[in-house]
Amino acid sequence: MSITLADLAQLLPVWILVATGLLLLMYEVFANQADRSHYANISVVGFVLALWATYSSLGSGTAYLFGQGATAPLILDGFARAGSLLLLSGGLIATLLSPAYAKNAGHDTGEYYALIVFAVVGMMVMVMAGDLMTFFLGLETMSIAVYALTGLRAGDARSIEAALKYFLMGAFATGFLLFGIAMVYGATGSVALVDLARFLSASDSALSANPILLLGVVLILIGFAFKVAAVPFHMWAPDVYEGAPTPVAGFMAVGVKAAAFLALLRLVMVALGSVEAAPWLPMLRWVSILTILGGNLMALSQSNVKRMLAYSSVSHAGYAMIGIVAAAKGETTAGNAVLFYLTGYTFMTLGAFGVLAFLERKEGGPESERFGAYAGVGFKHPAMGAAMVLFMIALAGMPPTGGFFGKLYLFSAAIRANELPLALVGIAGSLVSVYYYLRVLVHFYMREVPEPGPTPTATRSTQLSLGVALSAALILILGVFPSQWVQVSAKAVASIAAATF
Amino acid sequence: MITPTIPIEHYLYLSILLFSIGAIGVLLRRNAIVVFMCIELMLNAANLALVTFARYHGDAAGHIYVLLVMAVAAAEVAVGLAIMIQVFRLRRTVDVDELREMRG
Amino acid sequence: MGSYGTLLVLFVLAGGIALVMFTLTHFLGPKAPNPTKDMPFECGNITKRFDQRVSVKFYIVALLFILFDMETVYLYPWAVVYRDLGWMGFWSMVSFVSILVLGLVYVWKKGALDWE
Repeated sequence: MSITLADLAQLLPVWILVATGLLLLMYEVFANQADRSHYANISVVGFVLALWATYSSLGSGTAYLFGQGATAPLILDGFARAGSLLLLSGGLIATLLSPAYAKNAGHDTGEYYALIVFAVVGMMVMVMAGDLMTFFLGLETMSIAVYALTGLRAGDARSIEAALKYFLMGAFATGFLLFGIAMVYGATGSVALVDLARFLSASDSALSANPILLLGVVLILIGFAFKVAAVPFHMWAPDVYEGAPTPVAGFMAVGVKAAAFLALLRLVMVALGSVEAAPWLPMLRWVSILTILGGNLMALSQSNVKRMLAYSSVSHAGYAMIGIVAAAKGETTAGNAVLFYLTGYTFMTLGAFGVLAFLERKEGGPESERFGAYAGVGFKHPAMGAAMVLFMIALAGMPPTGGFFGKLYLFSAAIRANELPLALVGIAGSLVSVYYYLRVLVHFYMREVPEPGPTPTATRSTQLSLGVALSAALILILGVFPSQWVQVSAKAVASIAAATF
Repeated sequence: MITPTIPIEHYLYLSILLFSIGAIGVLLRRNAIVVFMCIELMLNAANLALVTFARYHGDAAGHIYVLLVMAVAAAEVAVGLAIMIQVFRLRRTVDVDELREMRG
Repeated sequence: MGSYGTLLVLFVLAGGIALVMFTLTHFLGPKAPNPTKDMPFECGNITKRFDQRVSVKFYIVALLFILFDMETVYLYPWAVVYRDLGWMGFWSMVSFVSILVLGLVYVWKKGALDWE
């Protein structure tokens, strides 16, 4: 094996991000400290260049980097490229939402933006990974950066407590995942996804004769469930989302979840899907049902808007899991549905957290995050209010937004895979969710302020407005012209299926 | 290569035992530092399993994976301990049950 | 059981030698205790009581030490097959070490290495 310059050139978007991150760190220690406005701009330029590099390579064929054929550690196929586009846009919008908020919270430093950039590098490695060990490295690159981001509001008890909880739970999940990888390596002699696929499809008894392999796969799936905050592995999520800086909470809710689901989708489509009536199918199915029901029911009773959004993101992990179950049963449209759904979810959730970041008071505190604290802000800030209406409608899964088509594709893929009960649970969950999403809007457009107390004050910033506007535009475009992205993502998902053997 | 006389299963049992001790420790202990040490135990159980299988398959890659995991674990230690120092400065405790700033 | 027996012999030998050493020094060594000698000894820092606060810089240096120390783990296997890897191996390591150097520059300029 040798590394050629052509191989390295394929990874241009990753190099751009790494260089951006390092540049930010050097800028932080060498540049004039009085001028902090350039961090976000450097970061945005890096993301835009990486997006451009990824976009222009979207049509090229599959490249296997640093290894032989499909067992290569990095596989740059259409799926990896489309996934990277999604993750890079998430990073870009999260960066745009940050400067005004970070200035208030006192963490407007080069490290903050560098950590976001490095986390996206990890996410991109996750979606490119052709073997479990490379996936693990990407996951840890992302996770360690996000642990640090969560605790950046130094001096704020909620932020640092959230960081500790997230760190302990995340590291615990890492333990499960790594032990699972070790077991799979032991059973098959390789960590490559295609080798696992060959092993599983070699004979019907490959699994039943091999308890170590089964243990390994189940532990890996538990690790995934922790990372995407699926019930019953979700208990860290609400505290972490509440305590983390608001733009970081948005970034975590979309980036970490999207990267983990995309990697899981590749694992399921390449390897796990080849087993008929696999023992992990019921497990995934129950996790999906519990996550949808649990997330929605707990979101109903929240009085803090950030916590409500945290539980809502738990429930969205449940919807995406429906698509994973369908993909595990070999349903070809399921992968496409998951990718489309995650795209919509990214923009609507980032947008919602962006509006919250816009409205967050300088002193912050849980009091200003109550539903009641937002009374009438829709009239005071009409543009932001209108954007919030759009994001809440999208999260509830109503047209004309990308959220509607995402759920439509997911549920119809489930029905095609003979998983009607799952689709029904998903629809029931969506109906329940309408209540708590509309509750936000009711408070936003309340005429009289019922309870006096700390109310949110706006943080004006061009970048923040741009970030919210971008999310709103993208979620509308996905809702009105879904076919464009559907075609891209269908081609992307087909590239995994084509490369399996 | 010397034929190993300690059968491979024994390494595996030890590794599973270490992993279980670690996982149970995480669930039962309340001190964040001890919880973190239990997590490290789980990672090292995985490392033991990786070298065992690498030897069993005669595959050098498994040994390299262990080096990768060790470096990753060191990075995790650095971030984790930094977070814990910060928690202790603010709250004078690292007991996870006493950290209840957020409820709901 | 054979190889476990070997292990047992190793443990017994190691433990035995340590025990013999301790006993011998206890009985044979000259003893003249005074307060200065009884103080716990650490090199570098002036020794402090356990309940006193140690500067947080100390932890930061320790954390950074773990990080940079762990990275040398990659140098060993690399050095073993250095000649076989050719220029590719050389440039890979150059890029790896350069990133580490940037990290070092960062912590240095941040003042994380200053003791006082």
